[in-house]
Amino acid sequence: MASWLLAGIRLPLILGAAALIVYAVFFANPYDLRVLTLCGIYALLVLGFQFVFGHAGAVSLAQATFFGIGGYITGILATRFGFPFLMTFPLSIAGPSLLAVIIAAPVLKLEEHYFSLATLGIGLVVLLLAIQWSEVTGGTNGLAGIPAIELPGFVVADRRSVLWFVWGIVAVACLLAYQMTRGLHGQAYHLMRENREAAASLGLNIAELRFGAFVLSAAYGGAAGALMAHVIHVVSPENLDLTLMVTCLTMTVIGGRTRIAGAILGATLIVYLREWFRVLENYYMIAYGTVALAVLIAAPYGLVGALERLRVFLFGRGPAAPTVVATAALPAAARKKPVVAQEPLQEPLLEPLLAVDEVALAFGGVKALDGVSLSCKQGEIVGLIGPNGSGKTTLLNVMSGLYSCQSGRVTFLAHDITRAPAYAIARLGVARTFQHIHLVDDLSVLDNIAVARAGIDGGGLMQAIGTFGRDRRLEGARRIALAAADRLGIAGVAMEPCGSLPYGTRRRVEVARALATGPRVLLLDEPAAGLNEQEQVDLADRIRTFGADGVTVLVVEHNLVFLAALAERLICLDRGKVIASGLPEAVRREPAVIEAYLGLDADVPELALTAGPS
Amino acid sequence: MHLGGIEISIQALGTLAVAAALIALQYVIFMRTQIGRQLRATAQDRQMAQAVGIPASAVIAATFGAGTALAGIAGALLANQFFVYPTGGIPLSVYAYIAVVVGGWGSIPGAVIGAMMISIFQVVVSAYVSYAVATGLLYVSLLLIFFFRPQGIFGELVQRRV
Repeated sequence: MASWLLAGIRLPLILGAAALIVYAVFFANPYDLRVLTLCGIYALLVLGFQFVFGHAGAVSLAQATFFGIGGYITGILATRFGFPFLMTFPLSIAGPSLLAVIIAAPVLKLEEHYFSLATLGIGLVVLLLAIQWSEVTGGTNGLAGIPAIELPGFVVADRRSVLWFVWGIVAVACLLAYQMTRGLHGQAYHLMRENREAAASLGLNIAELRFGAFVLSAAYGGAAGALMAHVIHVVSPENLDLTLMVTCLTMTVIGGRTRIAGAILGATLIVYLREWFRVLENYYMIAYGTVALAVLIAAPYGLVGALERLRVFLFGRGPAAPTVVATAALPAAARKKPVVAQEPLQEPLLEPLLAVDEVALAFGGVKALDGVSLSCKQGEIVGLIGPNGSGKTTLLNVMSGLYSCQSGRVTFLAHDITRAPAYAIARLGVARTFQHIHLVDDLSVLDNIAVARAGIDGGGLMQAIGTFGRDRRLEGARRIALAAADRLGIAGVAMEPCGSLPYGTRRRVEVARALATGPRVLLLDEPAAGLNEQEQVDLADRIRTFGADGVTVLVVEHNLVFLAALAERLICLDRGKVIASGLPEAVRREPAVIEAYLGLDADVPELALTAGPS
Repeated sequence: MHLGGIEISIQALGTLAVAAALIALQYVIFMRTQIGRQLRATAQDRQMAQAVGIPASAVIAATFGAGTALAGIAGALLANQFFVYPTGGIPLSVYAYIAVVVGGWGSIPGAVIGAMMISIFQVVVSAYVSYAVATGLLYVSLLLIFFFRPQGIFGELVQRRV
């Protein structure tokens, strides 16, 4: 218990919360109670915004709109139809959520700027509706006289009760947010916002994750709006406009984009800044703006992040999390278990496992792939070589589903996966690594590898919410991750953050991550790049053991030395066409291959191993 | 001043002339001068630009300043025609954002076309239907443009190197 309290900045946060509670109970006058209540409402708004902006990494500018819609639903239903709180509140949550579901389909496909713009556009339209449709919404003046919250048998009328009620809802919302973003689910989001291609190639359904985050943000926003309507008894177009959106954005960025404590801290700070600077009357905007800007420059990752950095600076890093000790004590036998977690095939397949048939892909005028056909049998280790620009990585991208070919077919285990999305191909059992390393620097090696199970083991939002206490899925994922790390010889640095590791080790983390999905086919894109000779020999040995476990490996490489001992078969690409295929010695002697690498004037009998082409 | 059967105020003509001159000037600077090349290089790849000796921070600061100056001129031109108040710039900045995104980032002709589109909807379409409906239609047509051309009208489809 003591170690839990002392970890990170929990203790100062808990003390701060206790101080605020004491203040609210004993020292606050009704005005202060109102201010604290507003802090709670904004905290709820920011919590919702953190799902889509912080966790999913998408700048949605519709959060204020959802807030306003929730408020208007409550206002309209309560004043014009007399619905009680227990009906208006769920409807105020359902309304914005429904809107989010409707607009999510076209809008979420858009990239960054366009997504923000689309959400901004929705805000504009709704704002105009609120102003123009005055019979229903009360026009620019809005609706007044919204009653207090009425629960059966009890009216939440005085300011103290309202305060506890609002913060009670905030507490539930915090708990829900914590459940949804802990464990594998949260780490999946982390990887997704750092690098979408890597996340998709691990079996994570990006569209689904973003959709969930977007709808959740709408739900939280609607709830906050409904509470605001009951607290200030008025709803007006000001609840919908850009100014509120900017305030929400400010609170989120200042507090911390992904931290629950950050939501509360950011909301409270901004609300109180306005109160404190009220003394300056007309100049309060200048002071408020200056302070907000100063905090942003001083703490670009939010206040919570800054506080944690301060703690590390003053007191040093705390003890490592207890989960490490548990997993590090795995018996040696368990760690040698092959990581092929999927069902092994019953009989050895005679037909090719993964096949590409006359695939063509052109970018503008450049034919990256010009009718490429190849296939891999189960358990084979195939090398794919070729000079720069020959289309090797493009072929890998087509096979793993990141690119769509313009003609031809890709089949895997008799499934046609030509048009399948990347995450579906990954879940079928095709894993890959990338030429440029795509790891999450902030997470430890173990967690970077463990995230590979998030897409494979499935389990979505509902399961994440229902997990209390020990997170067994996370522990299981970490066990598999440790085994994969062991296969790559990096179990010793499992707890180090990835950002601090040398290049060669990071390469191996990437391979381990691909291995942890339990694939049948492993596509490696230049795994030996940047490794020294010893590391290369070591990696080649390890890859050979994967083949022995029945995993088919396709290695894209320039480095013939690396491939010489490893590959059973070589395929050479040049300018999008296969120019040679067969045993390594034969391919190295093939005149077309020598010409592709060394040019027409080259007068060598075969591509030498020692002076490999760069 | 009369042109055909339409009466155009000298003020409007002056605004058009100033705007056209400034946009043309910006286009020439961006596309035809060495400074413009440096600006575009910094936008495309900041680290590489620094590596070839372009002072990236100074370039970004200068661009920010120039953009703000243009916004100020636009405000001054509009002040003659519309009511001025402290928060009046907010809806305009939203429209500016829309115009740039619809036209395609980094494309000056695109931004002009985007702005024209918004004005057409605001003035012409709203003469036939209500202002709110006109805005709704503008929004729907934006979505349609993005559906068929996600990079904007003149934008370049940039693919991340995997």
